[in-house]
Amino acid sequence: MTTMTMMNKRKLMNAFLNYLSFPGAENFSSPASDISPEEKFIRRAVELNVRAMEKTPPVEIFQNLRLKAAQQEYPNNAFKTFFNDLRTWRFVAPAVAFVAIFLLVWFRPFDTAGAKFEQAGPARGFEVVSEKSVLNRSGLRISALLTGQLAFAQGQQRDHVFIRDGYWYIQAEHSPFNNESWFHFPGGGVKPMGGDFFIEVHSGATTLILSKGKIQTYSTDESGVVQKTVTETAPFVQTFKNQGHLASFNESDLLAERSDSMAVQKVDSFEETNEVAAYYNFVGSYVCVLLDNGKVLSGKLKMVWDETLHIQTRSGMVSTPLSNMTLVELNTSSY
Amino acid sequence: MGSILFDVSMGNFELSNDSPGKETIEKAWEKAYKEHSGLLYGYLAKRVGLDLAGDLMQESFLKLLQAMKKGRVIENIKAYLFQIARNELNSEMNRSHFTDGADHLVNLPDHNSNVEAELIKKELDGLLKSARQTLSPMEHEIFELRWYFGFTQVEIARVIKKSERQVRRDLEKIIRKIRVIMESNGWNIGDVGEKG
Repeated sequence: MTTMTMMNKRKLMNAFLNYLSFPGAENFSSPASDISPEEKFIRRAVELNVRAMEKTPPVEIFQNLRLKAAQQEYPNNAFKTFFNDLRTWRFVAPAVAFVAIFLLVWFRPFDTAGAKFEQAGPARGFEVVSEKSVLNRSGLRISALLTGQLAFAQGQQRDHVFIRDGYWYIQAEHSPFNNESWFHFPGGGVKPMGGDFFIEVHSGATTLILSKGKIQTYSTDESGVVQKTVTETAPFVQTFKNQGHLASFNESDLLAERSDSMAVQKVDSFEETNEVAAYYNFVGSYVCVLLDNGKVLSGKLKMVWDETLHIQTRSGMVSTPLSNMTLVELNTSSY
Repeated sequence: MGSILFDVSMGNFELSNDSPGKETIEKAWEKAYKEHSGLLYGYLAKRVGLDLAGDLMQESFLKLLQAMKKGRVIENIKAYLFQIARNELNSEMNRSHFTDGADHLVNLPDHNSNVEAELIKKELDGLLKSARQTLSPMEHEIFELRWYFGFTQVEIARVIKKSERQVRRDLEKIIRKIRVIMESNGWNIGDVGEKG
């Protein structure tokens, strides 16, 4: 039997707009058995629209596809299984990470925020270290590239080196047997975690250049309170605004805890070796070059020719005469 | 460890407890072709014509197969396919210097029309045609996927790579515009009959 259902114009309009706005995973808000004629009309309209949009593709398309599909290779199953397994842990992993972060935030085992330099233990007073001197100390090699002043202090858990001025090149061994050391300078500080870095204290700012390895840094506010601690990997450069907190550091507090020279062993000055032959072994390796003007170049040493090093850097080929260089280091953590 | 490999929500494929074998993947892929190629071909043909639609569709299905082989979790095959196709379409448009999605629609002969469709066309399409002129290209695309292709909001969000919330907001805007047009034009649906 055929019946004609009269539909209300406004209801039809609403059914249409409701269909458009329905947010569920399904397309319609009510089950098919319980719908108004207007909604029924809209459902039919959508069905017809979809059917009208469908176009049967030519059979050749599928034939071509099958041929191309057969040429596609399957990736390694072991990897696939591994990543699928990982995916099944996708809800567990964030929970574990959350607990770990909570514990880290709660107990703050590595946090130095809020600490002041004064919390470090007694130390020797500042001493002037002349240019090209090298100091060796528990896994640290501190080279004075320019004359500067520094002081050492020993805290309960860490050793501290305070730098007042100068230009320093520090090489730190990564070893669990060495004491944790912090270098403090106006405006911030750095903890080496294995690697090489430069610290240059200017009048208004301190520049930290990490050429190799990893460090942890912090910056301070005007009162010398640590603001934040972050971990950085080479290559990395940061300028710290001098807040002058080292000036408020009471030198009389830096009592000579160890007056002997055991803590800091002064070794011979390093020699400049500008002989061309010395650099041939570095050709093809990644190097880090400290120039006379204080700049640092890092890149792959392509050629040594006519007393000039030709280095492939990130920004292109750079040639620098040996006479302009202060130091050349083999950079094992190539970019 | 178990993994959901293919589209469970659409009822296309089953839960797989192990990494699916070559045969399972190919069977699933062929099933996807059977179920979605018609609509996808129509979607592409409407924009770029039948010839190019064939190429783009092949590309889309090959990418789907690649993803399946890599063991990628695909929750909604239809939305995933359209998303790939849309990307292909956009690249093609960039190559061909098309300007926007609404300007180059190809008029295709409608082989599926019947009396009811004619009625709907007569009553709705005339109105929607003028309404569409007030929509932005993105709104136009959303409206088209919803009304002409029957996509859910979740599917639209996946295809156009927007959040569901944003799609909902866009649809609200679209509805407001259409409502204004409807009311101002005095939508004359008349006594549309429905056979029961």
